Amino acid sequence: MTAHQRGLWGIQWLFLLLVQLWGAIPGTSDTLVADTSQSDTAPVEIHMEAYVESTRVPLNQQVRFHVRLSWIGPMGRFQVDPITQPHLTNLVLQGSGSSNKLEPLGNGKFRAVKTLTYLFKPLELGMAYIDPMDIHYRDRLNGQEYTLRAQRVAVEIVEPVATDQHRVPAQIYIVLLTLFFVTIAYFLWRYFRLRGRRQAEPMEQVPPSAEYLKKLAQEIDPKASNLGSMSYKLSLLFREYLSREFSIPALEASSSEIVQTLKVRQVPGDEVSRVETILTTMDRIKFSGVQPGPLAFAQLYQDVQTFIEERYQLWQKQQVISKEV
Amino acid sequence: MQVDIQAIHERIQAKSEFVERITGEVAKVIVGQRYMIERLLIGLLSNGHILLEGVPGLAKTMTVKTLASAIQAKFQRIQFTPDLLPADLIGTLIYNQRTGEFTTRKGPIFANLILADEINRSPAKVQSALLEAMQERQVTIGSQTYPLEDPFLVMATQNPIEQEGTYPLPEAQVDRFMLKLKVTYPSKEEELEIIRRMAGGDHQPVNPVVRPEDIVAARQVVNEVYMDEKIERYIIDLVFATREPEAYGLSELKPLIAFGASPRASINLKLAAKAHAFLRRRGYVTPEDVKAIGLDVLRHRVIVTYEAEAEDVSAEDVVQQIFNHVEVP
Repeated sequence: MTAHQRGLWGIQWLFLLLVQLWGAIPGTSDTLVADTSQSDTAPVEIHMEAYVESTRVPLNQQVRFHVRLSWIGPMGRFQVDPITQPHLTNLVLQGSGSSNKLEPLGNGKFRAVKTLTYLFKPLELGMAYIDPMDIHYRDRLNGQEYTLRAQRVAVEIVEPVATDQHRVPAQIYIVLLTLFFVTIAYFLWRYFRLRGRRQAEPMEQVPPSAEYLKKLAQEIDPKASNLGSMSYKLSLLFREYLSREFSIPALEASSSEIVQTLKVRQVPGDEVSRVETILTTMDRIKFSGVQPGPLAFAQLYQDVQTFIEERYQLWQKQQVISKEV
Repeated sequence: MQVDIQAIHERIQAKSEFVERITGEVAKVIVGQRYMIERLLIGLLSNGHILLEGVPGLAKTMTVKTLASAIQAKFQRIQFTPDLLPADLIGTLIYNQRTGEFTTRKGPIFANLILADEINRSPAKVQSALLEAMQERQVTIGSQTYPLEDPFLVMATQNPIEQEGTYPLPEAQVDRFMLKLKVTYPSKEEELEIIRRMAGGDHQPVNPVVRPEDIVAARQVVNEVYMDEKIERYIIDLVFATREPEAYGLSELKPLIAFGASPRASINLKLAAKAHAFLRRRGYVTPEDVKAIGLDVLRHRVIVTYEAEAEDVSAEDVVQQIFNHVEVP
């Protein structure tokens, strides 16, 4: 070998080494061109690029690896054989897919692009590698078959980072909280305003006397035939009324206890005396085993009604006085 | 059923007339104690016995003695002591050496009114001899059975202090007393009257105003006093409230009551309420009669728990709460 030949061989060897090195640099696009000019038909170049979207991938994210084949001409010119799974180091395949598209070139021609995409999951921190993969295809026009080999691709797996793909922005929380507090404040303001209005308005009071006059008219029939049970109802109603009117336990107390309590409460003597008369009459009717006559019952009804009515009138007078004051 | 209340009323007016005379005669000697006198009459009229609790010096003995004088009844006071024997109470057979025969000597129990003073100082055998006589109204000496006097009222006293060396009455025996009275101190005015009357020494004689037969006859009228079903149900409610307080909205009493009142309490409450109505000269019973006498009938029949004792809640407090809570008819 001459010195000249040795020099050419060295240049060629250096060129090949540089090409090799270029292909080994991670993340760089690797374009391989298959020469199809040997065929009888018009020669068509097919380009292949193998690359990753990022050469530094956090441990908790995926490595996206694409293999892009392109040529000028119709999409159906070449038939690509199914591609086997690449050999992986520190990665595991999670999914793959492919897509085809035609890019117009402007001179009435199109570029057919076929992209194969792989998703890999890193296994641990450090370097990960996708070893070279062979792609076999066949020219449908002349039936010739070719093989392209992608370069080995390296990826650095780094510390995982916080993913924020599902995180709701803090501003939304602030807005929601503000809305919540504004709503609460509004209802509180409204509640206190209504309460204030209610307190300011004069209360619509119904005294026990008015209530029991109504009950007396509704529930007790002075002309009823069953005077025994009607007397019992009348007695119960009157005791209930005394309980409400004077705030005493009249339902649990005997007649004399009621009278005694009214005296202690300093109820006017005339009223106490009338209550005593009514209760004594009621006791006699209820417990002596003798049915009251219609006249006796009517009289008792009248006494009860008059007593309650007079208490109602007294209440009305007190209301007028308190309004004047 | 229509009741001839007018006829009952007339009979009561006629037969209860002695009540005022008795109280008037007793009042000549006894100052105040109207409550005790009235309960003694209720005991006589309803054929019951009375347990009396009160400190010494409250004229318990004198009241019974005066009452006995007023009704011309035979009175006996028996001081119960630890060495008392049943024979000392009911009597015994005495052997007559001259005739060679046994003769019966009746004990002090053969009287109309018995004051069994400090009954808890005697042992159980004496207590049960008395209580048996109270229940049976007859005693057997040897092979002979003798009926006791009629009316026959035992008023037993228990001293609430000095409990050392006593024999408290068992609950079953306490239940045989119709009423348990608590005698309290007189008021200032009453006590002033007492010292004036007693220090003067001019004791007025008590005149007999009624015979024992009149009391027995009055009992018949007491039985006729009308009690409506509503009152009977009220009595049942009260007694049941001591057994099942939670059914009457008194759940807080449940842990305080160990044993409620017995059916004998219901019976006695009915009888005593009738007698109370009679004393008020009324021909029918009202809730007022039941309430007036209820505490005396029930206070010794409700047994409270240790928990109640620890909380200083007495049977009387429990019964009072029941009366305040159960609705009257």
